[in-house]
Amino acid sequence: MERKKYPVSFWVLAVLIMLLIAAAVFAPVLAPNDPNKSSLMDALKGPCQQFPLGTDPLGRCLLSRMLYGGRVSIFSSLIITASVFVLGTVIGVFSGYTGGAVDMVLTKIISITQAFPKIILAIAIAGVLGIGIKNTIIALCIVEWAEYARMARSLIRSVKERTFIKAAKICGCGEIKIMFRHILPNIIPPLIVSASLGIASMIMEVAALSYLGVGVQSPMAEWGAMMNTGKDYIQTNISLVLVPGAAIFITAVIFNLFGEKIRDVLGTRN
Amino acid sequence: MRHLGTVCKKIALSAIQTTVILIGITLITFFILHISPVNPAEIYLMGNSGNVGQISQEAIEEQEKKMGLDKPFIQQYALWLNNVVHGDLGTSMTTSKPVSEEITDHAVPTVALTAVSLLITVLISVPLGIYCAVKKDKALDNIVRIFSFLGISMPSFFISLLLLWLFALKLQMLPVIAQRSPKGIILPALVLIIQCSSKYIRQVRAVILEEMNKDYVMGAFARGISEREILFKHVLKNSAVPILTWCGTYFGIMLGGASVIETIFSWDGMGKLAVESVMRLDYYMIQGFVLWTAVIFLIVNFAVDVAGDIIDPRLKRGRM
Repeated sequence: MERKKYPVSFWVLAVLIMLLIAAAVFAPVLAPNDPNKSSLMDALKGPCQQFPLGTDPLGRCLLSRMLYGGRVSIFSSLIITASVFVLGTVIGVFSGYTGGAVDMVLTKIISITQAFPKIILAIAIAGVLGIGIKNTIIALCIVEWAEYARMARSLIRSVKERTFIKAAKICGCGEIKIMFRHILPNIIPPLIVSASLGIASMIMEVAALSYLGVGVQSPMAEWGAMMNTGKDYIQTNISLVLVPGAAIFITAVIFNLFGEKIRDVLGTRN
Repeated sequence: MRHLGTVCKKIALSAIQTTVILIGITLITFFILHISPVNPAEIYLMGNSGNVGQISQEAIEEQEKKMGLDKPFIQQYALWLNNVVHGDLGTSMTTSKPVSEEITDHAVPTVALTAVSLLITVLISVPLGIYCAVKKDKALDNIVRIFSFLGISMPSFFISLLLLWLFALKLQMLPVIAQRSPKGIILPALVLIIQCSSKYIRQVRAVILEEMNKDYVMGAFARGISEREILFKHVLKNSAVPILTWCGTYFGIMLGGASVIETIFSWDGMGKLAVESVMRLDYYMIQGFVLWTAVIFLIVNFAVDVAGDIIDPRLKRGRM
Protein backbone atom coordinates (compact mmCIF):
# COMPACT_ATOMS: atom_id res chain seq x y z
CA MET A 1 0.00 0.00 0.00
CA GLU A 2 1.22 3.45 -0.90
CA ARG A 3 1.84 5.71 2.02
CA LYS A 4 -0.42 8.75 2.04
CA LYS A 5 1.23 12.07 1.32
CA TYR A 6 0.59 14.98 3.60
CA PRO A 7 1.07 18.31 1.78
CA VAL A 8 2.84 21.24 3.46
CA SER A 9 -0.45 23.13 3.81
CA PHE A 10 -1.74 20.25 5.96
CA TRP A 11 1.08 20.75 8.44
CA VAL A 12 0.67 24.54 8.40
CA LEU A 13 -2.99 24.15 9.32
CA ALA A 14 -2.17 21.53 11.93
CA VAL A 15 0.24 23.99 13.54
CA LEU A 16 -2.41 26.75 13.42
CA ILE A 17 -4.90 24.47 15.17
CA MET A 18 -2.28 23.63 17.78
CA LEU A 19 -1.78 27.37 18.30
CA LEU A 20 -5.52 27.90 18.74
CA ILE A 21 -5.72 25.09 21.27
CA ALA A 22 -2.60 26.38 23.01
CA ALA A 23 -4.13 29.86 23.20
CA ALA A 24 -7.19 28.33 24.81
CA VAL A 25 -5.21 26.18 27.25
CA PHE A 26 -2.86 28.96 28.26
CA ALA A 27 -5.54 31.66 28.41
CA PRO A 28 -4.76 32.35 32.10
CA VAL A 29 -1.13 33.02 31.19
CA LEU A 30 -1.81 35.00 28.00
CA ALA A 31 -4.70 37.13 29.21
CA PRO A 32 -3.52 40.56 30.35
CA ASN A 33 -6.39 40.95 32.84
CA ASP A 34 -8.89 38.95 34.87
CA PRO A 35 -11.73 38.25 32.39
CA ASN A 36 -14.44 38.60 35.03
CA LYS A 37 -13.14 41.63 36.89
CA SER A 38 -15.53 44.43 36.14
CA SER A 39 -15.05 48.04 36.99
CA LEU A 40 -17.60 50.55 35.79
CA MET A 41 -14.89 53.20 35.71
CA ASP A 42 -13.33 51.39 32.74
CA ALA A 43 -16.61 50.62 30.92
CA LEU A 44 -16.64 50.73 27.10
CA LYS A 45 -13.07 51.95 26.77
CA GLY A 46 -11.25 51.90 23.46
CA PRO A 47 -7.99 50.03 23.01
CA CYS A 48 -5.32 51.27 25.41
CA GLN A 49 -2.22 49.96 27.10
CA GLN A 50 -4.02 48.21 29.93
CA PHE A 51 -6.81 46.84 27.71
CA PRO A 52 -5.35 46.04 24.25
CA LEU A 53 -8.78 45.55 22.66
CA GLY A 54 -10.79 47.81 24.92
CA THR A 55 -13.48 46.88 27.45
CA ASP A 56 -17.12 45.79 27.52
CA PRO A 57 -20.07 47.61 29.18
CA LEU A 58 -19.03 46.22 32.58
CA GLY A 59 -15.45 47.33 32.12
CA ARG A 60 -14.10 43.83 31.55
CA CYS A 61 -11.07 43.34 29.32
CA LEU A 62 -12.23 42.24 25.83
CA LEU A 63 -8.97 40.50 24.91
CA SER A 64 -8.95 38.46 28.11
CA ARG A 65 -12.60 37.52 27.64
CA MET A 66 -11.92 36.51 24.06
CA LEU A 67 -9.05 34.24 25.14
CA TYR A 68 -11.08 32.67 27.95
CA GLY A 69 -14.09 32.43 25.65
CA GLY A 70 -11.99 30.40 23.23
CA ARG A 71 -11.57 27.77 25.92
CA VAL A 72 -15.30 27.27 26.19
CA SER A 73 -16.05 27.49 22.47
CA ILE A 74 -13.21 25.30 21.19
CA PHE A 75 -13.23 22.64 23.88
CA SER A 76 -16.99 22.26 24.07
CA SER A 77 -17.23 21.87 20.29
CA LEU A 78 -14.41 19.32 20.29
CA ILE A 79 -16.15 17.37 23.05
CA ILE A 80 -19.48 17.46 21.22
CA THR A 81 -17.96 16.43 17.89
CA ALA A 82 -16.02 13.56 19.46
CA SER A 83 -19.06 12.33 21.39
CA VAL A 84 -21.50 12.42 18.49
CA PHE A 85 -18.89 10.84 16.23
CA VAL A 86 -18.49 7.87 18.56
CA LEU A 87 -22.15 7.63 19.53
CA GLY A 88 -23.45 8.03 15.98
CA THR A 89 -20.94 5.60 14.50
CA VAL A 90 -21.66 2.91 17.10
CA ILE A 91 -25.43 3.21 16.65
CA GLY A 92 -25.19 3.40 12.85
CA VAL A 93 -22.83 0.44 12.60
CA PHE A 94 -24.96 -1.61 14.98
CA SER A 95 -28.11 -0.75 13.07
CA GLY A 96 -26.67 -1.38 9.62
CA TYR A 97 -24.82 -4.56 10.56
CA THR A 98 -27.67 -6.19 12.49
CA GLY A 99 -30.39 -5.32 9.99
CA GLY A 100 -33.96 -6.55 10.41
CA ALA A 101 -36.28 -5.20 13.07
CA VAL A 102 -33.50 -3.54 15.10
CA ASP A 103 -32.42 -1.64 12.01
CA MET A 104 -35.97 -0.58 11.27
CA VAL A 105 -36.56 0.81 14.76
CA LEU A 106 -33.20 2.60 14.87
CA THR A 107 -33.74 4.08 11.42
CA LYS A 108 -37.08 5.47 12.58
CA ILE A 109 -35.41 6.99 15.64
CA ILE A 110 -32.75 8.54 13.41
CA SER A 111 -35.44 9.99 11.12
CA ILE A 112 -37.37 11.37 14.08
CA THR A 113 -34.28 13.07 15.47
CA GLN A 114 -33.47 14.57 12.08
CA ALA A 115 -37.02 15.81 11.53
CA PHE A 116 -36.76 18.01 14.64
CA PRO A 117 -35.85 21.63 14.15
CA LYS A 118 -32.31 21.35 15.54
CA ILE A 119 -31.83 24.67 17.25
CA ILE A 120 -35.32 24.63 18.77
CA LEU A 121 -34.83 21.14 20.18
CA ALA A 122 -31.48 22.21 21.59
CA ILE A 123 -33.08 25.28 23.20
CA ALA A 124 -35.88 23.14 24.65
CA ILE A 125 -33.45 20.59 26.08
CA ALA A 126 -31.14 23.29 27.43
CA GLY A 127 -34.21 24.99 28.91
CA VAL A 128 -35.37 21.82 30.64
CA LEU A 129 -31.93 20.79 31.92
CA GLY A 130 -31.13 24.32 32.96
CA ILE A 131 -28.81 26.90 31.46
CA GLY A 132 -25.09 26.21 31.50
CA ILE A 133 -22.27 24.92 29.31
CA LYS A 134 -22.60 21.29 30.45
CA ASN A 135 -26.25 21.18 29.47
CA THR A 136 -25.53 22.93 26.18
CA ILE A 137 -23.08 20.15 25.35
CA ILE A 138 -25.63 17.47 26.28
CA ALA A 139 -28.36 19.20 24.27
CA LEU A 140 -26.24 19.48 21.14
CA CYS A 141 -25.12 15.83 21.47
CA ILE A 142 -28.77 14.71 21.59
CA VAL A 143 -29.48 16.73 18.46
CA GLU A 144 -26.39 15.92 16.40
CA TRP A 145 -25.69 12.18 16.70
CA ALA A 146 -28.30 11.18 14.12
CA GLU A 147 -26.35 12.57 11.18
CA TYR A 148 -23.35 10.35 11.91
CA ALA A 149 -25.57 7.36 12.63
CA ARG A 150 -27.32 7.73 9.28
CA MET A 151 -24.01 8.07 7.47
CA ALA A 152 -22.38 5.14 9.27
CA ARG A 153 -25.42 2.99 8.56
CA SER A 154 -25.47 3.67 4.85
CA LEU A 155 -21.69 3.17 4.64
CA ILE A 156 -21.77 -0.16 6.41
CA ARG A 157 -24.64 -1.37 4.26
CA SER A 158 -22.70 -0.66 1.10
CA VAL A 159 -19.49 -2.23 2.44
CA LYS A 160 -21.25 -5.32 3.81
CA GLU A 161 -22.32 -6.43 0.37
CA ARG A 162 -18.89 -6.06 -1.23
CA THR A 163 -17.10 -9.15 -2.51
CA PHE A 164 -14.12 -8.94 -0.17
CA ILE A 165 -16.40 -9.30 2.83
CA LYS A 166 -17.99 -12.38 1.30
CA ALA A 167 -14.53 -13.69 0.54
CA ALA A 168 -13.48 -13.14 4.16
CA LYS A 169 -16.56 -15.00 5.35
CA ILE A 170 -15.88 -17.92 3.03
CA CYS A 171 -12.33 -18.05 4.32
CA GLY A 172 -13.73 -18.62 7.78
CA CYS A 173 -13.06 -15.17 9.19
CA GLY A 174 -14.95 -14.51 12.45
CA GLU A 175 -17.61 -11.83 12.82
CA ILE A 176 -15.49 -9.71 15.13
CA LYS A 177 -12.45 -9.91 12.90
CA ILE A 178 -14.53 -9.00 9.86
CA MET A 179 -15.91 -6.02 11.71
CA PHE A 180 -12.61 -4.63 12.96
CA ARG A 181 -10.20 -5.70 10.23
CA HIS A 182 -12.35 -5.31 7.15
CA ILE A 183 -15.44 -3.19 7.69
CA LEU A 184 -14.37 -0.43 10.09
CA PRO A 185 -11.23 0.62 8.17
CA ASN A 186 -13.46 1.16 5.15
CA ILE A 187 -16.14 3.24 6.80
CA ILE A 188 -14.15 5.30 9.31
CA PRO A 189 -12.33 7.68 6.90
CA PRO A 190 -15.50 9.30 5.47
CA LEU A 191 -16.83 9.69 9.00
CA ILE A 192 -13.59 11.32 10.16
CA VAL A 193 -13.81 13.74 7.24
CA SER A 194 -17.34 14.76 8.12
CA ALA A 195 -16.42 15.07 11.81
CA SER A 196 -13.46 17.32 11.06
CA LEU A 197 -15.63 19.48 8.81
CA GLY A 198 -18.27 19.48 11.55
CA ILE A 199 -16.11 21.06 14.27
CA ALA A 200 -16.51 24.57 12.87
CA SER A 201 -20.27 24.32 12.59
CA MET A 202 -20.36 22.99 16.16
CA ILE A 203 -18.45 26.08 17.36
CA MET A 204 -21.08 28.19 15.61
CA GLU A 205 -23.97 26.23 17.11
CA VAL A 206 -22.62 26.51 20.64
CA ALA A 207 -22.19 30.23 20.01
CA ALA A 208 -25.72 30.50 18.57
CA LEU A 209 -27.22 28.94 21.69
CA SER A 210 -25.23 31.28 23.92
CA TYR A 211 -26.22 34.17 21.70
CA LEU A 212 -29.88 33.32 22.25
CA GLY A 213 -29.23 33.22 25.97
CA VAL A 214 -29.60 29.49 26.65
CA GLY A 215 -25.97 28.44 26.43
CA VAL A 216 -23.26 29.73 28.66
CA GLN A 217 -24.26 31.55 31.78
CA SER A 218 -22.89 34.97 32.60
CA PRO A 219 -20.30 35.96 33.84
CA MET A 220 -18.50 33.08 32.09
CA ALA A 221 -16.91 34.31 28.86
CA GLU A 222 -18.03 32.66 25.61
CA TRP A 223 -17.93 34.06 22.09
CA GLY A 224 -21.67 33.84 21.38
CA ALA A 225 -22.55 35.25 24.78
CA MET A 226 -20.07 38.10 24.26
CA MET A 227 -21.82 38.97 21.00
CA ASN A 228 -25.16 38.92 22.76
CA THR A 229 -23.84 41.53 25.19
CA GLY A 230 -22.25 43.48 22.37
CA LYS A 231 -25.31 43.69 20.14
CA ASP A 232 -26.97 46.31 22.36
CA TYR A 233 -23.97 48.60 21.89
CA ILE A 234 -23.60 47.95 18.17
CA GLN A 235 -24.31 51.57 17.24
CA THR A 236 -21.62 53.12 19.41
CA ASN A 237 -19.10 50.34 19.88
CA ILE A 238 -18.97 47.81 17.05
CA SER A 239 -15.78 46.22 18.43
CA LEU A 240 -17.88 44.46 21.11
CA VAL A 241 -19.40 42.43 18.26
CA LEU A 242 -16.36 42.38 15.99
CA VAL A 243 -13.89 40.88 18.48
CA PRO A 244 -15.83 37.71 19.38
CA GLY A 245 -17.26 37.51 15.85
CA ALA A 246 -13.79 37.61 14.30
CA ALA A 247 -12.63 35.00 16.83
CA ILE A 248 -15.42 32.61 15.76
CA PHE A 249 -14.82 33.36 12.10
CA ILE A 250 -11.04 32.82 12.16
CA THR A 251 -11.35 29.65 14.23
CA ALA A 252 -14.04 28.32 11.91
CA VAL A 253 -11.95 29.11 8.82
CA ILE A 254 -8.94 27.26 10.23
CA PHE A 255 -10.95 24.20 11.27
CA ASN A 256 -12.81 24.13 7.94
CA LEU A 257 -9.59 24.40 5.93
CA PHE A 258 -8.09 21.62 8.02
CA GLY A 259 -11.19 19.49 7.44
CA GLU A 260 -10.89 19.96 3.69
CA LYS A 261 -7.22 19.00 3.82
CA ILE A 262 -8.08 15.85 5.75
CA ARG A 263 -10.66 15.05 3.08
CA ASP A 264 -8.08 15.48 0.33
CA VAL A 265 -5.52 13.37 2.18
CA LEU A 266 -7.92 10.56 2.99
CA GLY A 267 -9.22 10.80 -0.56
CA THR A 268 -12.83 10.06 0.23
CA ARG A 269 -14.13 12.26 -2.54
CA ASN A 270 -14.87 9.42 -4.95
CA MET B 1 -49.29 6.30 -16.46
CA ARG B 2 -46.82 3.76 -15.20
CA HIS B 3 -45.84 6.23 -12.52
CA LEU B 4 -49.33 6.33 -11.08
CA GLY B 5 -49.29 2.85 -9.55
CA THR B 6 -45.94 3.26 -7.85
CA VAL B 7 -46.84 6.74 -6.67
CA CYS B 8 -50.03 5.41 -5.03
CA LYS B 9 -48.11 2.61 -3.36
CA LYS B 10 -45.55 5.12 -2.15
CA ILE B 11 -48.22 7.39 -0.73
CA ALA B 12 -49.77 4.56 1.26
CA LEU B 13 -46.41 3.41 2.56
CA SER B 14 -45.22 6.84 3.54
CA ALA B 15 -48.57 7.67 5.15
CA ILE B 16 -47.88 4.92 7.70
CA GLN B 17 -44.28 6.05 8.17
CA THR B 18 -45.39 9.66 8.49
CA THR B 19 -47.85 8.82 11.25
CA VAL B 20 -45.20 6.89 13.17
CA ILE B 21 -42.70 9.76 12.89
CA LEU B 22 -45.25 12.44 13.79
CA ILE B 23 -46.38 10.54 16.88
CA GLY B 24 -42.76 9.89 17.84
CA ILE B 25 -41.76 13.52 17.50
CA THR B 26 -44.69 14.97 19.41
CA LEU B 27 -44.41 12.30 22.11
CA ILE B 28 -40.74 13.12 22.65
CA THR B 29 -41.46 16.86 22.74
CA PHE B 30 -44.26 16.29 25.21
CA PHE B 31 -41.96 14.18 27.34
CA ILE B 32 -39.17 16.79 27.33
CA LEU B 33 -41.67 19.47 28.36
CA HIS B 34 -43.16 17.15 30.96
CA ILE B 35 -39.87 16.59 32.79
CA SER B 36 -39.18 20.31 32.80
CA PRO B 37 -39.11 21.80 36.29
CA VAL B 38 -41.34 24.71 35.27
CA ASN B 39 -45.09 24.46 35.79
CA PRO B 40 -47.08 25.65 32.74
CA ALA B 41 -50.15 26.36 34.87
CA GLU B 42 -48.13 28.86 36.85
CA ILE B 43 -46.85 30.45 33.65
CA TYR B 44 -50.39 30.67 32.31
CA LEU B 45 -51.67 32.39 35.46
CA MET B 46 -48.71 34.72 35.56
CA GLY B 47 -49.49 35.84 32.01
CA ASN B 48 -47.33 38.79 31.18
CA SER B 49 -47.30 40.28 34.68
CA GLY B 50 -44.66 37.84 35.86
CA ASN B 51 -45.79 38.02 39.49
CA VAL B 52 -45.62 34.63 41.19
CA GLY B 53 -46.33 35.64 44.75
CA GLN B 54 -49.95 36.61 44.24
CA ILE B 55 -51.14 33.31 42.82
CA SER B 56 -52.57 30.94 45.37
CA GLN B 57 -51.87 27.23 45.41
CA GLU B 58 -55.57 26.51 44.84
CA ALA B 59 -55.65 28.68 41.74
CA ILE B 60 -52.64 26.82 40.34
CA GLU B 61 -54.23 23.46 41.05
CA GLU B 62 -57.48 24.55 39.48
CA GLN B 63 -55.66 25.76 36.41
CA GLU B 64 -53.73 22.49 36.24
CA LYS B 65 -57.03 20.64 36.25
CA LYS B 66 -58.37 22.91 33.52
CA MET B 67 -55.32 22.27 31.37
CA GLY B 68 -55.41 18.56 32.08
CA LEU B 69 -52.02 18.67 33.78
CA ASP B 70 -53.24 16.76 36.84
CA LYS B 71 -53.60 13.61 34.76
CA PRO B 72 -50.79 11.11 34.16
CA PHE B 73 -48.35 11.87 31.36
CA ILE B 74 -49.63 9.34 28.82
CA GLN B 75 -53.23 10.39 29.38
CA GLN B 76 -52.26 14.01 28.84
CA TYR B 77 -50.58 13.12 25.59
CA ALA B 78 -53.54 11.00 24.44
CA LEU B 79 -55.88 13.89 25.18
CA TRP B 80 -53.74 16.27 23.18
CA LEU B 81 -53.43 13.81 20.30
CA ASN B 82 -57.19 13.26 20.27
CA ASN B 83 -57.75 16.99 20.06
CA VAL B 84 -55.23 17.34 17.26
CA VAL B 85 -56.90 14.60 15.25
CA HIS B 86 -60.11 16.59 15.61
CA GLY B 87 -58.39 19.71 14.37
CA ASP B 88 -57.81 21.42 17.72
CA LEU B 89 -54.19 22.27 18.44
CA GLY B 90 -54.98 23.81 21.81
CA THR B 91 -54.56 27.32 23.12
CA SER B 92 -51.35 29.26 23.52
CA MET B 93 -50.55 29.65 27.20
CA THR B 94 -49.11 33.12 26.81
CA THR B 95 -51.36 34.85 24.31
CA SER B 96 -54.54 32.80 24.98
CA LYS B 97 -55.13 32.62 21.23
CA PRO B 98 -55.68 29.27 19.48
CA VAL B 99 -52.36 27.70 18.46
CA SER B 100 -53.62 27.15 14.91
CA GLU B 101 -54.36 30.86 14.63
CA GLU B 102 -50.90 31.80 15.91
CA ILE B 103 -49.29 29.41 13.44
CA THR B 104 -51.20 30.69 10.41
CA ASP B 105 -50.48 34.23 11.55
CA HIS B 106 -46.73 33.69 11.90
CA ALA B 107 -46.42 31.38 8.91
CA VAL B 108 -47.12 34.22 6.47
CA PRO B 109 -43.87 36.18 7.12
CA THR B 110 -41.83 32.97 7.17
CA VAL B 111 -43.34 31.79 3.88
CA ALA B 112 -42.62 35.19 2.33
CA LEU B 113 -39.03 35.15 3.57
CA THR B 114 -38.59 31.57 2.36
CA ALA B 115 -40.02 32.29 -1.09
CA VAL B 116 -37.73 35.27 -1.68
CA SER B 117 -34.60 33.70 -0.20
CA LEU B 118 -34.97 30.27 -1.77
CA LEU B 119 -35.71 31.64 -5.23
CA ILE B 120 -32.65 33.89 -5.22
CA THR B 121 -30.47 31.19 -3.64
CA VAL B 122 -31.37 28.73 -6.41
CA LEU B 123 -30.97 31.35 -9.15
CA ILE B 124 -27.48 32.18 -7.86
CA SER B 125 -26.22 28.79 -6.78
CA VAL B 126 -27.26 26.37 -9.51
CA PRO B 127 -25.84 28.27 -12.53
CA LEU B 128 -22.77 29.37 -10.60
CA GLY B 129 -22.14 25.88 -9.25
CA ILE B 130 -22.43 24.37 -12.73
CA TYR B 131 -20.21 27.06 -14.23
CA CYS B 132 -17.55 26.56 -11.54
CA ALA B 133 -17.56 22.80 -12.08
CA VAL B 134 -17.11 23.16 -15.83
CA LYS B 135 -14.46 25.88 -15.52
CA LYS B 136 -12.74 24.19 -12.60
CA ASP B 137 -9.68 26.02 -11.20
CA LYS B 138 -10.24 29.03 -13.46
CA ALA B 139 -10.35 32.56 -12.03
CA LEU B 140 -14.10 32.75 -11.36
CA ASP B 141 -14.13 29.30 -9.78
CA ASN B 142 -11.40 30.31 -7.37
CA ILE B 143 -13.13 33.56 -6.44
CA VAL B 144 -16.46 31.83 -5.86
CA ARG B 145 -14.75 29.14 -3.83
CA ILE B 146 -13.11 31.68 -1.55
CA PHE B 147 -16.38 33.54 -1.01
CA SER B 148 -18.43 30.41 -0.36
CA PHE B 149 -15.74 29.21 2.01
CA LEU B 150 -15.88 32.45 3.97
CA GLY B 151 -19.68 32.19 3.93
CA ILE B 152 -19.78 28.77 5.57
CA SER B 153 -17.32 29.89 8.24
CA MET B 154 -19.44 32.77 9.52
CA PRO B 155 -22.25 32.23 12.01
CA SER B 156 -25.59 33.66 10.87
CA PHE B 157 -25.81 36.05 13.80
CA PHE B 158 -22.42 37.55 12.98
CA ILE B 159 -23.42 38.17 9.33
CA SER B 160 -26.75 39.55 10.56
CA LEU B 161 -25.19 41.96 13.02
CA LEU B 162 -22.62 43.17 10.49
CA LEU B 163 -25.30 43.82 7.85
CA LEU B 164 -27.52 45.45 10.44
CA TRP B 165 -24.69 47.71 11.49
CA LEU B 166 -23.73 48.61 7.94
CA PHE B 167 -27.09 49.07 6.20
CA ALA B 168 -29.40 50.03 9.03
CA LEU B 169 -27.15 52.03 11.32
CA LYS B 170 -24.27 53.46 9.28
CA LEU B 171 -25.90 53.97 5.88
CA GLN B 172 -29.45 54.18 7.31
CA MET B 173 -30.82 52.64 4.12
CA LEU B 174 -32.95 49.97 5.75
CA PRO B 175 -35.04 49.70 8.93
CA VAL B 176 -33.47 48.18 12.06
CA ILE B 177 -36.71 46.43 13.00
CA ALA B 178 -38.23 44.62 10.05
CA GLN B 179 -41.83 44.30 11.31
CA ARG B 180 -43.21 42.69 8.16
CA SER B 181 -42.49 45.67 5.94
CA PRO B 182 -41.39 44.99 2.35
CA LYS B 183 -38.16 46.89 2.95
CA GLY B 184 -37.56 44.94 6.12
CA ILE B 185 -37.38 41.62 4.30
CA ILE B 186 -34.16 42.63 2.50
CA LEU B 187 -31.68 42.09 5.34
CA PRO B 188 -33.00 38.79 6.74
CA ALA B 189 -33.33 37.45 3.19
CA LEU B 190 -29.80 38.58 2.41
CA VAL B 191 -28.39 36.67 5.39
CA LEU B 192 -30.30 33.52 4.42
CA ILE B 193 -29.14 33.85 0.80
CA ILE B 194 -25.49 34.30 1.83
CA GLN B 195 -25.62 31.32 4.17
CA CYS B 196 -27.48 28.93 1.91
CA SER B 197 -25.76 29.93 -1.35
CA SER B 198 -22.34 29.41 0.23
CA LYS B 199 -23.24 25.81 0.93
CA TYR B 200 -25.38 25.19 -2.13
CA ILE B 201 -22.80 26.39 -4.69
CA ARG B 202 -20.24 23.99 -3.22
CA GLN B 203 -22.72 21.13 -3.26
CA VAL B 204 -23.81 21.73 -6.87
CA ARG B 205 -20.18 22.05 -7.96
CA ALA B 206 -19.20 18.80 -6.20
CA VAL B 207 -22.13 16.87 -7.67
CA ILE B 208 -21.42 18.04 -11.24
CA LEU B 209 -17.68 17.38 -10.88
CA GLU B 210 -18.36 13.87 -9.63
CA GLU B 211 -20.64 13.19 -12.58
CA MET B 212 -18.14 14.64 -15.07
CA ASN B 213 -15.47 12.23 -13.83
CA LYS B 214 -17.55 9.20 -14.71
CA ASP B 215 -16.54 6.88 -17.52
CA TYR B 216 -19.52 7.57 -19.75
CA VAL B 217 -18.58 11.25 -19.97
CA MET B 218 -15.08 10.34 -21.08
CA GLY B 219 -16.64 7.93 -23.57
CA ALA B 220 -18.88 10.67 -24.92
CA PHE B 221 -15.90 12.99 -25.28
CA ALA B 222 -14.00 10.25 -27.10
CA ARG B 223 -16.88 9.85 -29.54
CA GLY B 224 -16.52 13.54 -30.36
CA ILE B 225 -19.73 14.76 -28.75
CA SER B 226 -19.53 18.44 -27.90
CA GLU B 227 -18.99 19.53 -24.31
CA ARG B 228 -22.23 21.51 -24.40
CA GLU B 229 -24.25 18.48 -25.43
CA ILE B 230 -22.62 16.23 -22.83
CA LEU B 231 -23.26 18.78 -20.11
CA PHE B 232 -26.87 19.62 -20.90
CA LYS B 233 -28.06 16.26 -22.20
CA HIS B 234 -26.33 13.88 -19.83
CA VAL B 235 -24.46 15.36 -16.90
CA LEU B 236 -27.17 17.79 -15.78
CA LYS B 237 -29.89 15.19 -16.14
CA ASN B 238 -27.94 12.71 -14.05
CA SER B 239 -27.07 15.18 -11.32
CA ALA B 240 -30.56 16.72 -11.12
CA VAL B 241 -31.70 14.49 -8.25
CA PRO B 242 -29.01 15.36 -5.68
CA ILE B 243 -29.27 19.04 -6.64
CA LEU B 244 -33.02 18.91 -6.13
CA THR B 245 -32.61 17.07 -2.82
CA TRP B 246 -30.39 19.82 -1.45
CA CYS B 247 -32.86 22.42 -2.64
CA GLY B 248 -35.59 20.57 -0.73
CA THR B 249 -33.44 20.55 2.39
CA TYR B 250 -33.01 24.33 2.27
CA PHE B 251 -36.71 24.77 1.64
CA GLY B 252 -37.46 22.74 4.77
CA ILE B 253 -34.88 24.58 6.88
CA MET B 254 -36.17 27.99 5.78
CA LEU B 255 -39.84 27.14 6.29
CA GLY B 256 -39.04 25.79 9.74
CA GLY B 257 -38.12 29.36 10.51
CA ALA B 258 -34.62 30.74 10.76
CA SER B 259 -34.86 31.37 14.49
CA VAL B 260 -31.66 33.33 15.00
CA ILE B 261 -32.07 35.53 11.93
CA GLU B 262 -35.75 36.19 12.58
CA THR B 263 -34.99 37.11 16.17
CA ILE B 264 -32.21 39.55 15.26
CA PHE B 265 -34.24 41.38 12.62
CA SER B 266 -37.52 41.17 14.59
CA TRP B 267 -39.06 39.37 11.61
CA ASP B 268 -42.25 38.07 13.19
CA GLY B 269 -42.21 34.56 11.70
CA MET B 270 -42.24 30.96 12.88
CA GLY B 271 -38.63 30.92 14.01
CA LYS B 272 -39.04 33.90 16.31
CA LEU B 273 -42.34 32.51 17.58
CA ALA B 274 -40.65 29.18 18.31
CA VAL B 275 -37.79 30.71 20.27
CA GLU B 276 -40.22 32.83 22.30
CA SER B 277 -42.51 29.87 22.98
CA VAL B 278 -39.63 27.69 24.12
CA MET B 279 -38.32 30.41 26.41
CA ARG B 280 -41.78 30.78 27.98
CA LEU B 281 -42.35 27.01 27.94
CA ASP B 282 -45.64 27.45 26.13
CA TYR B 283 -46.50 23.70 25.90
CA TYR B 284 -49.14 23.70 23.19
CA MET B 285 -47.47 26.38 21.12
CA ILE B 286 -44.23 24.36 21.10
CA GLN B 287 -46.15 21.21 20.21
CA GLY B 288 -47.84 23.07 17.38
CA PHE B 289 -44.53 24.36 16.10
CA VAL B 290 -42.87 20.96 16.26
CA LEU B 291 -45.81 19.50 14.37
CA TRP B 292 -45.46 22.24 11.74
CA THR B 293 -41.75 21.63 11.13
CA ALA B 294 -42.17 17.86 11.16
CA VAL B 295 -44.99 17.99 8.61
CA ILE B 296 -42.91 20.29 6.39
CA PHE B 297 -39.89 18.02 6.73
CA LEU B 298 -41.93 14.99 5.74
CA ILE B 299 -43.76 16.69 2.86
CA VAL B 300 -40.49 18.04 1.45
CA ASN B 301 -38.80 14.65 1.73
CA PHE B 302 -41.74 12.98 0.08
CA ALA B 303 -41.93 15.53 -2.73
CA VAL B 304 -38.21 15.20 -3.39
CA ASP B 305 -38.52 11.41 -3.47
CA VAL B 306 -41.39 11.45 -5.93
CA ALA B 307 -39.76 14.10 -8.12
CA GLY B 308 -36.54 12.08 -8.06
CA ASP B 309 -38.36 8.97 -9.27
CA ILE B 310 -39.90 10.90 -12.12
CA ILE B 311 -36.63 12.53 -13.18
CA ASP B 312 -34.45 9.49 -12.72
CA PRO B 313 -36.17 6.12 -13.25
CA ARG B 314 -33.04 4.30 -12.06
CA LEU B 315 -33.86 5.27 -8.49
CA LYS B 316 -37.26 3.62 -8.61
CA ARG B 317 -35.86 0.37 -9.89
CA GLY B 318 -33.16 0.48 -7.26
CA ARG B 319 -35.61 0.92 -4.45
CA MET B 320 -38.08 -1.78 -5.41
